[in-house]
Amino acid sequence: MALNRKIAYIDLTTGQIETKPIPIEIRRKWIGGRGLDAYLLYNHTKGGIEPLEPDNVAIISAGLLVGTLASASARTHVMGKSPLTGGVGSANMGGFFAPELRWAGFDHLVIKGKAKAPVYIWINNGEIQIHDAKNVWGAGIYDTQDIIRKELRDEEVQCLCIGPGGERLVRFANVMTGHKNSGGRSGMGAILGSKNLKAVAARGTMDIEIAHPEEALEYNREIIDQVISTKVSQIMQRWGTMFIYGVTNTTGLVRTRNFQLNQLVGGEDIECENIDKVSIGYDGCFGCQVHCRHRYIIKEGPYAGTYSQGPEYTSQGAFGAEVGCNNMNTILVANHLVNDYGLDTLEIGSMMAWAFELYEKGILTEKDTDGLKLTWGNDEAVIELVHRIARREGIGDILAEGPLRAAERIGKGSEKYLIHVKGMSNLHSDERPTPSLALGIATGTRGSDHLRSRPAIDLYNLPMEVLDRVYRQPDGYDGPLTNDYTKYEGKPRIVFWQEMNYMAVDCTGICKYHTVFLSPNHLTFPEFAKLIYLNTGLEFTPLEIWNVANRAYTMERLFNIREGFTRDDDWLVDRYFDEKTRAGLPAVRGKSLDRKKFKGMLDEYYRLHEWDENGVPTPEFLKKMGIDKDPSRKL
Amino acid sequence: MKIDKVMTGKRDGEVRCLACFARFWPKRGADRAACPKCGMEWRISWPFPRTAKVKGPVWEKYPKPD
Repeated sequence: MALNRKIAYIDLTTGQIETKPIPIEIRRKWIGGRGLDAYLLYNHTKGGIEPLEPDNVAIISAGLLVGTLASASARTHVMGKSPLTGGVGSANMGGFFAPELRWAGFDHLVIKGKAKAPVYIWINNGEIQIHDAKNVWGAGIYDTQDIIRKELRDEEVQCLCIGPGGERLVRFANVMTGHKNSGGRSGMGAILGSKNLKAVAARGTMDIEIAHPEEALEYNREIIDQVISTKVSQIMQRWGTMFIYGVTNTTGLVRTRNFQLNQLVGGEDIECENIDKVSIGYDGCFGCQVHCRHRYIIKEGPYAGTYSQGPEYTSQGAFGAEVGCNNMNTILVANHLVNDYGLDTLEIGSMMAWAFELYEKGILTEKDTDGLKLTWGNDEAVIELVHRIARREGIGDILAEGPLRAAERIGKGSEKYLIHVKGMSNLHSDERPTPSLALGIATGTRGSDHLRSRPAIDLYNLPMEVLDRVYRQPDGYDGPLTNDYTKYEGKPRIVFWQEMNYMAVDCTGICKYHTVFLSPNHLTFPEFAKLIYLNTGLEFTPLEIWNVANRAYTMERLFNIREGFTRDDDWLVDRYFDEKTRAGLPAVRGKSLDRKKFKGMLDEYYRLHEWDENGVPTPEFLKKMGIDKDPSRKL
Repeated sequence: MKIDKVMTGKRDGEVRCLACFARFWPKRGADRAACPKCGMEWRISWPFPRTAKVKGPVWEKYPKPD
């Protein structure tokens, strides 16, 4: 049955492997996926450990509904102490690895220690082995998976792996599966690299028994209709997340030339419609009907003829607007390279944009860059810099350290040009006109984060009755809400609600694009509860799911507090407050954030969370959540 | 996989003006359309025959950066 998958503890130093069932009371408290991973992270680490030392853990999981009759139930979650920020490290990816892990008998892997030489973990129908990885160490993501499949003589093996970026401990190295499914943020690939762990390979044929199969199948048909019938899903089916650029750049919400402008003026070449010129079809993740990514062949330049997949909206920013480039080919090539190297698209783009601005200001010179001209719109420099960061060559070695460490090495006031929160760079969105989105990135537990609390539908000017339907449940909130995205009132609530919603969906393993993220008409707490019941038999009310999400999110917060993060870290760099936007529609022009109002939002956000004025969960709240005795090491 | 499902009813061919959020219906297949409420002109694309979206501004008519 769906509830009989196990947890495995793997010590790469000693080679010891222990497996256990996951008790029902743990499921009721944490569900699975990111929720249970938050508990495991807090309980299997001590405060102050070094992220790239053996004491750190790499926790890999599949959500509770992965591999069941729930649509788009494909997500893998990876967690550890982040090498980039020193706080919560967490990344989530689609593809086919998580279902295979569940069919192989496991929901959660807790990996600690460090192997003496490169290894990969092989999981097959309940058995776990540690294999020599000398044949794949040094290989890119694409080759790694091919080599492992050949070695194991099974083309159906699914791999979660790192590329050369992770091997070289680039602090924002990602984990990947397939051609482009990326657990991008917060440097999880570097944790695996520090353990000499190249990959986790899984293959399984252990059935997942569905609790109520006929009802689950019928309900899933309704869910599919609910999701596919929305306009946003249909546009994603055609152009993937790249369509978002059309809305945000048009409005003036795209960070351009690091932070100098909020729109790539005339940026037509990188509009999503142009992917049609190179696309050879679509691909998708396990169990998903949206199929939101393109398969493409690069047509121009030295990489002509290369096959790849994607790109995502983040790449339009990373290799487009942020560095002042308006060239789709640059995005296609760079997307391919960062995927093969195993690097976070978003972080590398922001680091490059920062370097370009430092070059413009004379803080970095050609001597520092070994002759590379980091001028806005220099497509060749963008591609070359990707290589140098991945290989840790010259200036690339500095940028590979991430924002704070790189700024420390460069000095000369370079840190004031960083766009980061808690040491992790921001997406290429410009939040100066949008207080709700600004609050979300400031308070994210893993740093500047557009995926853990972003109330994207705040941009849609929805009717109030729609906002009431979405944001007042399941706990009966009766405070203020506004549908004007430039206002501050009511925004803490929608940020808090989205945190709970995204945490809940991350516990299930369903893709966020199926939930209330880009559409108000997608899945949320009532649907999660019904899907969990029909597929697993576990009964939750929507409010109980909310409480699980709240508990898990609080656990992430406790981890960060233990690592020394304070209220001061729930803030934005000065540029958000001191520099006004200069482009875009009238509603977003001349905008900067107001410090006093932002502080007011933060105070309200803490109150909603039942944390004190410093953002620390109160003892009463911890007791209410049943986590006042953690770390408790019950699992 | 070819996707055949398209917008129906009042959403058929509809776009929202990003400037004033008014809903309007460009001529089927048009590559430009002006919002009837605020007059802002947009480039339009059609992911499917009956689904329209704002592709981007008509840059010549769009306010320049300050």
